[in-house]
Amino acid sequence: MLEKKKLLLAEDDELLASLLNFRLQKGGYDVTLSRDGKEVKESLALAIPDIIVSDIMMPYFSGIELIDFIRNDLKLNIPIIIISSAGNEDNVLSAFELGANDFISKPVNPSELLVRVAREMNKM
Amino acid sequence: MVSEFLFHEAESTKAENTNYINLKIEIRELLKEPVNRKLFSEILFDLQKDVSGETLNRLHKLYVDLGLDQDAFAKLKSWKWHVVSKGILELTKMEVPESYGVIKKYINTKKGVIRKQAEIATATLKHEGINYFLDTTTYKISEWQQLKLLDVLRNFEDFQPPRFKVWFTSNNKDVVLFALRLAKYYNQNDANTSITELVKHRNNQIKTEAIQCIREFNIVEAVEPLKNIFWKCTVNIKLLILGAVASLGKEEDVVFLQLVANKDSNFTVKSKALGAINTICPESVMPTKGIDEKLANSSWKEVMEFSEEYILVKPELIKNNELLEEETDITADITEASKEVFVLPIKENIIEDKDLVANVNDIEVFTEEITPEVNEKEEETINFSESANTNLNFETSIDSSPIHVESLENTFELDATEHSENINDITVVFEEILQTNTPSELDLPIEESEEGIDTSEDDELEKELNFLPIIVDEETFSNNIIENEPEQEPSVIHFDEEEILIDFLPFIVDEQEENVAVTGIEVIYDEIVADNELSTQETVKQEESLLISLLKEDFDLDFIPIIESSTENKLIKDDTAEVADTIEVVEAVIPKAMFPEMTFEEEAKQLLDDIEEFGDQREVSLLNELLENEEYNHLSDRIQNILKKFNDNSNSSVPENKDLKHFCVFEDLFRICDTEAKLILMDEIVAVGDEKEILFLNSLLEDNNINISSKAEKLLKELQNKMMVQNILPIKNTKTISDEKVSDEYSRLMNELEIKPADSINFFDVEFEFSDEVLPADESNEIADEAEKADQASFLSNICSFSHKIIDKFNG
Repeated sequence: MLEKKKLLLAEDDELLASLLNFRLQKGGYDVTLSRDGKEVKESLALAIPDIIVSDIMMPYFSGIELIDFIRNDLKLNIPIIIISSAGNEDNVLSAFELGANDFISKPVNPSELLVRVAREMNKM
Repeated sequence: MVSEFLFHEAESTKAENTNYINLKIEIRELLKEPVNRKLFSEILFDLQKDVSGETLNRLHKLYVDLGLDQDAFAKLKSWKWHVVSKGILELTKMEVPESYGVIKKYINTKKGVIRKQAEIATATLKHEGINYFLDTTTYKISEWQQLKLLDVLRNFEDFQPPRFKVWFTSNNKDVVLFALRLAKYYNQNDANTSITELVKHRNNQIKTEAIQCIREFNIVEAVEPLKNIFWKCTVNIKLLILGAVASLGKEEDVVFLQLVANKDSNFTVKSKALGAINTICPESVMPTKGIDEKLANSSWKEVMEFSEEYILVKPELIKNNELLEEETDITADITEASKEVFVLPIKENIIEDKDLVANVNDIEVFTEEITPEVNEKEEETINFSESANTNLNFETSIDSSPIHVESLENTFELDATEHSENINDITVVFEEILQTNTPSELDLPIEESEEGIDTSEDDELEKELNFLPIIVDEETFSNNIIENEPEQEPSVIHFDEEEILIDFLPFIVDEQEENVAVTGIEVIYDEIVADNELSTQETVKQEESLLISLLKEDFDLDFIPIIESSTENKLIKDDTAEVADTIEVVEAVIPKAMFPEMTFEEEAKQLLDDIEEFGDQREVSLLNELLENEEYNHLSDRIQNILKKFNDNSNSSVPENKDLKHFCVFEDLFRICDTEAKLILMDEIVAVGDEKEILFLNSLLEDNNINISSKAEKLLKELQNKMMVQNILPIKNTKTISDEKVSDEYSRLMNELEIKPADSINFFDVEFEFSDEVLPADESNEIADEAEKADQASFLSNICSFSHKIIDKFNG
């Protein structure tokens, strides 16, 4: 039995988080849900996921800061997909500069997200 | 649960299908409760903002499948505008197509919120909704609303916009404007003629939009109409037209633009016209204002004209900052690296070798003023005179460029050490400013000046610094002041031996000495004594009497200025003493006022004058008393005259009865009004007037105007009747005029019909007492009946007999 890939989902919107969580789990991923940047750091301390899907705007630590933390402090090379809202193009560029792999804009198409996650996983 | 519904696939496993069906049943059970329905619809409403694509479509379908859209439809029927608005919003967001037919009816509703919501919904729910909206709307479309509608249309997938030129002929100017904007956005340039025609619209916004469309679509044919309407437009429209002409115009249009530049009064328009000319014909209009003609005509080659030859200066010729006259072999001091050729133009900056100054110290400051005579046409040179002690003689021209000299690094070697020694040799003079002119009284010690300081100029400094204040120690000052204070003069006034007659000032005389010649008059006056604890009236009086006696012997004064000189001296001495000395309390007494002595005759005259001027009959008794005691004949005659005058006045003016003349309101008004107004006023006299108006009406009987006199006669009778009636029947004041009229008529009728009015029945004067006896029912009823009958007899009998009496009256 193939081991499920671990996916860390960081989203503060509960409804969207649960929806994406369901969809990604249905897509065959072992999803760890985090509500804010603090929980993400705690989760990373416990286990390193195979891929991270993170919203940019979050409490405590934004998605940009998390990317910086993962790339520069933890020195991890795991793929990171950013979920950005409309009008946040500057943040997307910053995320790419810091080392994000892909981004998806809101409103999120769960199917599209699944495809992007699969693509990043395949790259690895 | 929602996720299950949203992400359920038909190709899922049997277990998943079973689970899905169970969920459906479960959710339908839950949705029977309104709270759950509301919650579920809220969840779906929030989710639809965050998801897109297939998930969103499923979400909308789920919303409809679960029957949650019925709640939204129900909201549309509410009479509350915010409920209706929310219902429209939900149906729009959830994209319920069946709601289109219901919502489009709200496009022309009065309530603005509902109308705007319906407009967006109509455009959103169906692609052709925008057509319906533009066809049917009769209300204004705001700029924001237009933006929102455009945003909706932009986000449509596979949207085929209609030809918006159809709405250029709409009656609603906002529809025309919006159609223009949509046509521009969707680049519908198949309505050039209509757009050109819209330039002549009254609305400036439509004009603006049309001109922008013309420019956008490059409608060259519209240039001529734009020029035709130019002069009648506002400044902003003019600028747009000029912009359009600039982009679309040709050279033939330059004439028009020049005309605009010359004729138009607005600077912005003028400059825009010039800019347009430059756009059409580049660089045809050049700036001319503020151009300097000299600079315009100047050339860089002018400088070259004066320098025909150049000299070459070899570094070998320069040694120790001195240019050698002869060309000698110099190899020791000059390095090979300095073998450079220096080029100096002639005439401009010719510096002769002889004139070069080696030592900086030898350079003397040129103090002579240079006043070149500048002439624009001719070139002048400046000649420095020899007396200026300069060794630099060169000729320069004012118009020439600055002197260009190549670097002469190895030619001049300035010795810095020499300069430093010289600087140290400069003598520096330190001066201290001291004050030498001190007041003689103070005798302040002056500190000795330090050695080496020259104080020879102190005198001059003192003169210059006399304006500065002198700061002295307090101790020395205080001690010196007391000693040097000049003696103060006592405050006693010393009079000369000459007799001085001063009779204009008042004086106060003691009560004892007062001899009032005028008898019968009680003049009351009080002495003013200072409220001082330590002052005694006795000492004051003693001193006063002393002073008076002294002064009366020598001087014939009518006043004695009582000045407490002794006391004041004491005060001064107290002031001069230090604070430690207690101030002795002095008897402070305000001197009495002293009036000039008047004879009795004069007083009497004055009194009589006052009485005659200000008095009236009330002074008669006083005058009688005065008359009895009067000695002088002329005074008694005068008193009698005054009495007679007062008595005459009293007889003529004041009536014996103390009642005042009746004041009639109409009398004052009659003086001002014209005849018509008088007649109208007279109508009101009867209604409002009383006895006072009777007198007034009597006076009007003799009026010159026949109408007034006749009317006055008539009204007088009416008023008299009224007064008679009032006297007979006492009427309360609270009654209104109408009540009075009714009562008058009633009384007349009563009189005519010889009916006596019934005595006023006071229903509240009911005297009864509870008795122990219990009357039988029949008896009580009988008594009640009798009472009723008695009442009825008095009131009803009158009414009943009234008619009979009228009939009898008619029948004679």
